[in-house]
Amino acid sequence: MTTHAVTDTVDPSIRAVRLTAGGLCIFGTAVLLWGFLRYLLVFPGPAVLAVILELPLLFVGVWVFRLLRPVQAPPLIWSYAALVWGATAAAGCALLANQGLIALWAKSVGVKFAATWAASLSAPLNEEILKVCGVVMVVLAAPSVIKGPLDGMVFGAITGLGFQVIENITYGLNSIVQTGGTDPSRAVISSVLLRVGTTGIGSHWTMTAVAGAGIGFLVSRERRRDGVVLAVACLLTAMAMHLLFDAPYRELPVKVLVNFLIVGVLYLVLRESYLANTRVVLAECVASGVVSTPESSCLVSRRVRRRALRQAHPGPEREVLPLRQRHVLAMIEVEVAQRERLERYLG
Amino acid sequence: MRSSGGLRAASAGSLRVRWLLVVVGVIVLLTAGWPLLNTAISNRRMVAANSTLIVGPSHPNVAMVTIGRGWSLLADQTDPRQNYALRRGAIELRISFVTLMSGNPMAHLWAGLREVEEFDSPGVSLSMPRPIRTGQGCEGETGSLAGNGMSGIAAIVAKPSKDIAVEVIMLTQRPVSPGNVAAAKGIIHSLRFTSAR
Repeated sequence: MTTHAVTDTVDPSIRAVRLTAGGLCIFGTAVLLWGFLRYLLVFPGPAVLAVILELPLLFVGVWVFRLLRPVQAPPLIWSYAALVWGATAAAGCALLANQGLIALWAKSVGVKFAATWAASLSAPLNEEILKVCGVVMVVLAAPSVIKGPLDGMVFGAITGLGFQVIENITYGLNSIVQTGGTDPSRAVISSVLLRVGTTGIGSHWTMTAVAGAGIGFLVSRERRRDGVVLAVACLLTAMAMHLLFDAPYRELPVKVLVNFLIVGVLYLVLRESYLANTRVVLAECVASGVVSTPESSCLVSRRVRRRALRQAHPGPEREVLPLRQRHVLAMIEVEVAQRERLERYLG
Repeated sequence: MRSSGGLRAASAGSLRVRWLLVVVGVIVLLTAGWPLLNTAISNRRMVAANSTLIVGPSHPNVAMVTIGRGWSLLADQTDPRQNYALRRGAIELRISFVTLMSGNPMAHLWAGLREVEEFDSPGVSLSMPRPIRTGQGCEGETGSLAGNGMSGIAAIVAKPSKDIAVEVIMLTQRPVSPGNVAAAKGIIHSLRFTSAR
């Protein structure tokens, strides 16, 4: 068994990725402002209300998705980076891409067909690709953060959440005009109740979580053929989930439930695989003396780790323990990823 | 060891840049490609005289208007479930379906329309309303639009149940010809809902 010291050196290529991602986020923000700033000028109260009503979803969503990653949460800064990508670069570019493609449908096959099907045939293609690009950017900008499909899934969910929040806001704003400006605040609230309360659990975060898992497969298999096949399959599944969601059928609860079940089953499978590998690696660490048996019993669970910290004797032991835990967990994460990579190669 | 590590780092860096270019290329293709392709296809479709346009999400929540001669449909700005965008010479006409939140009195509808116009057409203001009645007998209000070198007319007609309404906005560069005004008023007068209830 080997150990690897994982460091993120900011070499020029990584800096280029980060700058490009930042530039695309700025571009996306500019597009969104160009499209929607006027709402803030003409309907300031309802516009601010539309944003405020989405904040609980935003904060709770990020907290839950980070919590769902077993053993330890993904780095906060890269979680926020994925969120910002979804909310700005992906959302802004999708606005332009969808406008273009939907207009193409309307011009080429007629407005009646386009009214029913254009969104279903445009958004899955444009939005899923643009959102999953955010997960790819995290892989490129922070090489050690996404090590496998579970990481990809969590970052995909966060990216999709950012996109979903912005989309909810824009739908809320659009509903002001669609209701003739007669009761803007009520229009915004109705929109939020529908999009968050009714469709929220089966919306964008589920789709990008699945697509993000595909990127994680690609990373863990080091771009081998099986990784590419899995990545493509996950992206196509995400697009199919999106097509189902946007399709002009009335069974909304069914659509929402199907998407939630797909992501739920995938999560449980990936989580179980990850925890199984973690337990094997931990046992090897104990056998080789790198980690003591009492220490190994409290590493996997966040709650147990926090309890160990609270129960540590005051003094140097309590000061050193957090660093020790982080160091050992980092080593275990690397070994788990290595184990997955070697298993596939040997298989 | 150092040189092989350096080679690995350089190789990883090169691969990273290649993937970055792929990602950026895909984003540019989608974001700029569809709109560019869109500009290559004509947007206008002539609408036959006396055609009936149906606007609204689904029966019975729909309204109908009859279009006179010389109008063309702007396909990329039209969604029959929500609105039609039409052009006749220098004038543009928009027919929009409105879902009313509750049984708003007409005063609220006109006030709402004023704010919507302020949003859609900055600098263009709405006059005080005058009552109108369509051929079906539905009540509405109409007025003139002016500002920013533009002029036109606006109307909003509500279904008697006050759960839906239709806005008709005509705008053009000044001055408005009597023929165009008559054409727009003809569309407003033809407005009818699927049931008068």
